[in-house]
Amino acid sequence: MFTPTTFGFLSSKVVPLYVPTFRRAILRNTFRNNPASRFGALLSFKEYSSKKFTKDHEWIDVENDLGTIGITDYAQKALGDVVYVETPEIGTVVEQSGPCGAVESVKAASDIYAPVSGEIVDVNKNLVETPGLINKSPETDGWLCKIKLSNPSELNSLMEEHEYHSHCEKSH
Amino acid sequence: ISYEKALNLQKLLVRRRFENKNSSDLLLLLQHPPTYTTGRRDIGKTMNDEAYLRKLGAEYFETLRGGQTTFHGPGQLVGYPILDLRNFKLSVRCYVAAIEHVIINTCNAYGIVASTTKNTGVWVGDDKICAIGIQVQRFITSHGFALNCNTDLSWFDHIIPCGLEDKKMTSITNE
Repeated sequence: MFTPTTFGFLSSKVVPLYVPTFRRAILRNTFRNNPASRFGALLSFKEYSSKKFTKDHEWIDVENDLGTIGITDYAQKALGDVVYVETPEIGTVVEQSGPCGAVESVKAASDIYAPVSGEIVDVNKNLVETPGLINKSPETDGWLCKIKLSNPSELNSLMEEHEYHSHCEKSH
Repeated sequence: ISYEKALNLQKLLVRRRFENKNSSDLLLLLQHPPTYTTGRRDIGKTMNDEAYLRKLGAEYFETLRGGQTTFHGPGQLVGYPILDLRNFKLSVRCYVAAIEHVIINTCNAYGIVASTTKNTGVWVGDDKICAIGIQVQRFITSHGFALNCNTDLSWFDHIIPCGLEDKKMTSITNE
């Protein structure tokens, strides 16, 4: 007789064996029957989590409908040593290209603009104590804020990485 | 011209630059009545200072420029370049350095040897002769520099200019 306890015991033993086997079977069939779908799978994974850039040198890294925003390495070099970062307040609703904080360096406060519309759900508190993170790791640890996207199609108006690098070269 | 009028004028000019990319680059040169201003990172944190400084007979404004507290007043040449940095292919860092360079050359014309240090601005030895505080919005600059010509430097005694406790101010007349 299957009791909840029995079922729980069995599932804890059976499922760990069953799920990987099931996954391998799916992948094996996929690759065997249609190698092109491997690339399709990779592409769709990239769309799900990808970095885009604005012409004003902000980046956004999106996973599902949650984006992490920061400024690029090109921008931090142009600014110089960052001494203060003004992050937007959590809960603020921003529009695409609307103000979204500021970065101060050499007595110059440069406004940052939101790559997409949405609600700010988190800010990088490390930037309060260590604003220089933006210089050291502008595109990783020096992230500025996280945004819940209200209109993911706005990402289509942003640049891919190679387009952004061409844009930077033209700006010189 | 009052600081408030000049600030509103700058906001208008910057907005016009956003709307019309072909607008000209401008330089506003003016003097203010006694006014203390502070920068972006001190917004909302200086209410006690504001009350004290207003009692001295000065105006007080919090602004969105870089830098900390400074004084503007008669005898001080204030310059607000409203430029599109892309027209000059200048980064923010290089733009500030260019302003410093211009001020150093101006001081040289009066026989004053001025220079830059690790602290932004223009210095004569250990004393600051010109403060700089900029805002950049979509590559358009506003705010700018404040060069002490024959400013009454005692106004600076009531603040820690630019947040530097051990530094004093000077002027062209002083030198």
